[in-house]
This record gives sequence, structure tokens and C-alpha cells, in this order.
Amino acid sequence: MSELQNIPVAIMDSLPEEQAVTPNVRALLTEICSMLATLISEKKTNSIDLHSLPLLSGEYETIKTILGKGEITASLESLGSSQIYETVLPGVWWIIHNNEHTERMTEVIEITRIPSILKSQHADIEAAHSALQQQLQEWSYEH
Amino acid sequence: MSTQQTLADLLQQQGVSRRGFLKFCSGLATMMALPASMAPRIAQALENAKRPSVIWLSFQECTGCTESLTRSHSPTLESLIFDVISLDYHHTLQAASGHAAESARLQAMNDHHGEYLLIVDGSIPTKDGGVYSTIAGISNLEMLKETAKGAAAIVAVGSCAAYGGLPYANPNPTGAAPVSDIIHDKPIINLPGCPPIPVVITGVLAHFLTFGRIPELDSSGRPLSFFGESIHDRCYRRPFYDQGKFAKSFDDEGARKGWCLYELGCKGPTTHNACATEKWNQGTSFPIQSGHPCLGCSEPDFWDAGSFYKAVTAPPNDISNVVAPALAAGAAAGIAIGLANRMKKARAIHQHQTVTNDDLKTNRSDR
Amino acid sequence: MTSMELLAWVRGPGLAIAIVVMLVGVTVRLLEMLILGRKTDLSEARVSASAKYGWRTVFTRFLPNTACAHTVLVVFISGYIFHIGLFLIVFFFVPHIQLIRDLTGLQWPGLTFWLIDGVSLITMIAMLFILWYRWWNKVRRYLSRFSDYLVWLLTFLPVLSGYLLYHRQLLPYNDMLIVHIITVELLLISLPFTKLMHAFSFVFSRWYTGAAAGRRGVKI
Repeated sequence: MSELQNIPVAIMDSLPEEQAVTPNVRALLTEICSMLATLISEKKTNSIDLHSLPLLSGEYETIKTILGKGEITASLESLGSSQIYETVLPGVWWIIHNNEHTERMTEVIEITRIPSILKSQHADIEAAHSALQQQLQEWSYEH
Repeated sequence: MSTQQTLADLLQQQGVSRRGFLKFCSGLATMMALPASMAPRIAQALENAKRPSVIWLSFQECTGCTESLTRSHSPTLESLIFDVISLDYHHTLQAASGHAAESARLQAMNDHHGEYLLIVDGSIPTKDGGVYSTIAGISNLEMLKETAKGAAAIVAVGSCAAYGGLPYANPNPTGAAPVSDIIHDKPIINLPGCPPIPVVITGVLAHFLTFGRIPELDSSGRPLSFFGESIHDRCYRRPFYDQGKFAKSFDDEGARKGWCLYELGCKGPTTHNACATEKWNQGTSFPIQSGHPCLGCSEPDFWDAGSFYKAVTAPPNDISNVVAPALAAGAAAGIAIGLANRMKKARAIHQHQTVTNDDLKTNRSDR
Repeated sequence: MTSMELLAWVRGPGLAIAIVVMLVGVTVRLLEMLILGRKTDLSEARVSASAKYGWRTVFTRFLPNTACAHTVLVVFISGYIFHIGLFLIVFFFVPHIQLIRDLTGLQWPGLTFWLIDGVSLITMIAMLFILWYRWWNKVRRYLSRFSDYLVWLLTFLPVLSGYLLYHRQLLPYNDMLIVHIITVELLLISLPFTKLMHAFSFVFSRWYTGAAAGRRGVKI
């Protein structure tokens, strides 16, 4: 794990003990590693649904500690709150969607340049464009 | 909301942004046990998805399945029922009763003929003309046949509707039968479990809503997305099984350390369900995590499959009582055959004739 | 019949039938052999307690017989490997111990799964090699009958199906479990009626050979 410390931005708790890196944790990190390779070579994005992984107690926390928090954190307020942040590994994003009752709906690790949910959506842009256009027209009539 | 409206329309009316809609879709993807990358495709499908009419029939059952569903989360039952589907008949949940309730069912059957989704929980008693369970004077058997005619698909919720469940267990006094024994000309989705996992019920409804068709099923009629893998294969205690670390009793060191429950009768290896990943009580835990072996409740005939606390390889009933009679029968036959052979041998010895040189000479000259 | 119903049948009545046939068959054949007895040896015994040599031979024959080792060493070793392998698999695989516990009330600690996994693989390789050699060597091929190949198959199938079952290959777990149990039941049923009977009769034949030789003053 010492290579991780060479990455410039690292805001994290102390790394877990060697023994905390159980086979499950190793497997998940290996998968992330190969997904990063695919992102580099084929520009293909991938995701891991944390919800459906059979993890032993403590393993989730270990993974979260190892991946840590990177430079970017975003929050989304729509149908409940969502937290989206890049981990200390650029290209590896941690996404948590809660519903209005603050119950966790989805928790995924996405391997991508930017999670698609952060991008402005085409329909929303169109709506924004026509709304602004209309507003400008109204103002020009008033003049 | 009329049944002509789509879910996308509804969310838009409520001022939910496209981003919110995408988020909703990724929640649906999780619920349907599909990869999160499917969210955009789900969004696309939902653009045009019409709100389905649902008729829910409860037969010979304990209401545990409905209890399970009403405790489902993400999306909560309220949003699922009132925003996504049009639940036109469910005699436990609906406000109407008596004639009003029955006419609601007939109305829905009429208005949405060939399009509505029929959900059934509970088995159907067939003995003596099905008199053992009736609703509004109609036997369950009749009501199922009548309502199934115009259904687009049938969802058999719970082990009773899917495989007969407890009422079907030996000696089955009411002649209970699963839906698939009675209806043969409609697609049937089995969602077994006693009760089934709520998110499995809502996930399948979401699948039908999203794609307008039923999900891919296994040979027992269960959606592969939830029942494709065994509890054992997705169990977080699986590493202990592979290492040979087993709890031998419920209070030994192995049990405290959370070792594998195989020797305590866990049916995980032969049971297909999503408990190990979807879990219960809003993702808190599932039986094995709480230290109890899996009972195998989502498999056919699990009530008659022997003790819950015997290893899955053990015979369902005690067959050790055949050993003594078999040995006795073998001994008796062996001694009889042995003595018969001995007598034959003795007779053969007795019949020996002494051959002399003269005899040999005579024999030679005869030839 | 659903696969769960079939599983319940092979685990219950099917297993009971197989055990009954095996027990009745083995008891009948053993008693038949013992009651028939051997021809009285009229020669004078050179050693007073020849039975002692009989018991000795029962155990010494577990050890490698150097007189046979000259044939083909690999075949010789393979024979050991698959016999020991089968013993470990049958009696030290945890699910099997659970079955034995359920039937007899006896139990003992099992071996870890990866060890049994490796043993199964080696056992199968040894068995395949022995089959190939039986076919390749003209003398052995000439001496082999249909029943020899049948007995090989009856022994090999439970190991193969068990291996596939553990690794979730070819068939869904439940179906493979059914196949595995059926192959074991076939093996049990055929035990008394084929050369597999040696699993029980070896004690008696060894004893007799040892005792008869001992009587003549030959230690084997």
C-alpha cells in the first residue's frame, strides 16, 4: 500500500494495519486497479455497486479509509441529498445517493473522469436555455 | 395521475430535475440488481413507461408477504404505490370493503384487460372444490382463474403462491396448490421466500414498469437477477467454509467468532435468494449475519426437506433405522446361502469315489 | 418432479435403498465366503501359530511390496495415491463427516477444503493415468474385462461430480448435488457385486494368504 502515499493529494486517516487488508478488500482494490487500466487504455468507465457486495464487518470501513477523500467533493440536492467525491485516486469516485427520508438508496464506486450525474443534463440545459431566452425577450419588450 | 401519464411526466410536474430523475433511475437499477451503468437506459425506458394497473389477490396466506412489502424502502411503499403503480385491489391495504372492493377489482379487470399485472400471495386450496378459502363468497380457485384471464403477467409473491409453501406441506389437508399448477397460459414470475425480500418485490415491479416485460427467469420461475446465485456463494462467511472453520453449536467459540454455520444446518448451498446481498430491515442484516443458519425458505418444499438444524448433506428423514434390519436380513440370507453351499460341498465330498489304477486302465481301454 | 423434490428423494429414500442393498449384499457375500471355508490342509504345519502370520499380513500388505515395484513405478505410486486420496475425500471432507455423523452419531475433525480440493484433483489424475495405462499396456488390456472398466467408472464418477460440485461447474449446484449423490449411491449398490468388494474382503484374503504361507514357514 506504500505506493498510495506517493500520490500528491492525500487527506485520510492513517492507513489500516496490514491484517485489515482481507482477501475481500484486496479483491475489490484489484478490481478498481484493473478498471483504472481500462479507463486509461479504452476510456471505458465502470462502476462497482457496494450495496451488493458480501463484505465482512470492518471491510467497508477499511476500503473507505484506504480510498480516502481527494480534491473534489460535490453534493446534489434532488430527491434527497447525494454526496459525490473523488477519492485520493483520481478517476475513482465515491457516490452515495440518499432518498428524501435520508435512507441510502445507492452507493457505488465509479471509475470515470467525471460521474455523469455531475454533468448538466441535455434536457435541463434546453429548459434553461429557453427560460433565459424568454426572460431576455420579456426584458427587451419592456424597453 | 391517470394511467396515460408516464413516470417522467409525473416527476417533471413535481419539479424534479433531470439529474434527480437520473438519480432515481440509479436507485431503480440498484433495486433491480442491475449495474449502476444501466441508469441512463432505465431513464430512456421510463420516458415512455405507462403506469401499470395492479390487482393483488391474497389467498391461503399469513399476510407476512404484505407485511414485508409495507416495510420496503427506496422507494418507500407510498411512493411506489401512489406514484408508480396503480394498485386497484388489495383487500388488506385498500380502504374499500365488501361490494365496493369487489367492484373495484372487476372495474380494473375491465378497464385494463390484457394489460394489468396480477400479484398473488398465498396458495390456492383445490380440495373439495376449493371451499377452504373464499373471498366474498367466491373460492380462491375461481377468483384466480377469473382474474388471471385478462392479466398481462402474474407475480406469485411468497413461497405459498410460488411453490405451495406451508399449506402445501405434508399432509396438505386443503389440497393447496401454487399458482403455476393452476394457470398455464400466462407468464408467471415466482418471488419465493417466507416472506420474500421487499426489495425483490419492488424490484420486479420496477422491472415490469421500466421495460414493460418480465425479467429473465430460472428453471423454477424466479428472476435470475435476484435468485441467480445461492446464499452460500454470496455469503460473507463463505471464507470460513473454505477454511473449514465451523460453529458446532450456537454458543461455542466458532459461533462467537462468526464462523460458517454449515454444520448447524445452514441451507445456504442449496438456497437461491438475495438475502446475503439485499439483506433485511433496510439493509441491516440477514439470518446468517445474525448467527442463524439459512432455512432455505425460497426453495420448493422447504418445509418437507428435513430438519432446519441438520447439515444439507444429511438425509431429510432418519434412515439409520434401516441399518439393523439390513444387517439382520443380510446375515440371515448369508447364513442360509452359506449353509446351503456347505451342504452342497459336503454332498460332493460324500459322493467322491476312490479311483484306482485299475479304474483308469479300464477307462482307457473303453475309450 | 422439481429438482428439489429429486434432491429430497436421492438424499432420503434413494440413499436408504443404496445403503440397504450395500449392507445386505456385503453381509451375504462375507458370510457366504466365511461359512464355505477352505479345504483342510493335510500337510504338517511348520509353525504352530499360523494365525499370527495371518494378522501380520493384513497390515504388512499396506506397505509397498518391492517385488511389484519393478513393473512401472508410476502405476505403483498412482495406486497408492488414489486409494489414500479416496480415503481422505470420503472420510475427511466436512460435508461427508456431517453425513456420517447424521447416520451413525460419530464425528471427527475434517480437513480444510483447499486440501481436499487438491487431493481430489491428484486422485483424479492418478485414476486417469491408471486407466490409460490399463489400455496402453497390451498385457493389461488383454487381462481387462468390461467389469474392470465399469468399476473404474463407478469409482471415478463420484470424485469427478464432487469436484465439479465444489467448483460450481457444468450444472447448477442443486442439480450437480443430485448427480453426485446418485453416483455415490451407484457405487454403494455395486460394492458387493463387483471387484469393489475388496474394500471389505481384503482383510480376509490377506489373513488367509498370510496364515497359509505362515503354516508352511514362509513369512510374507
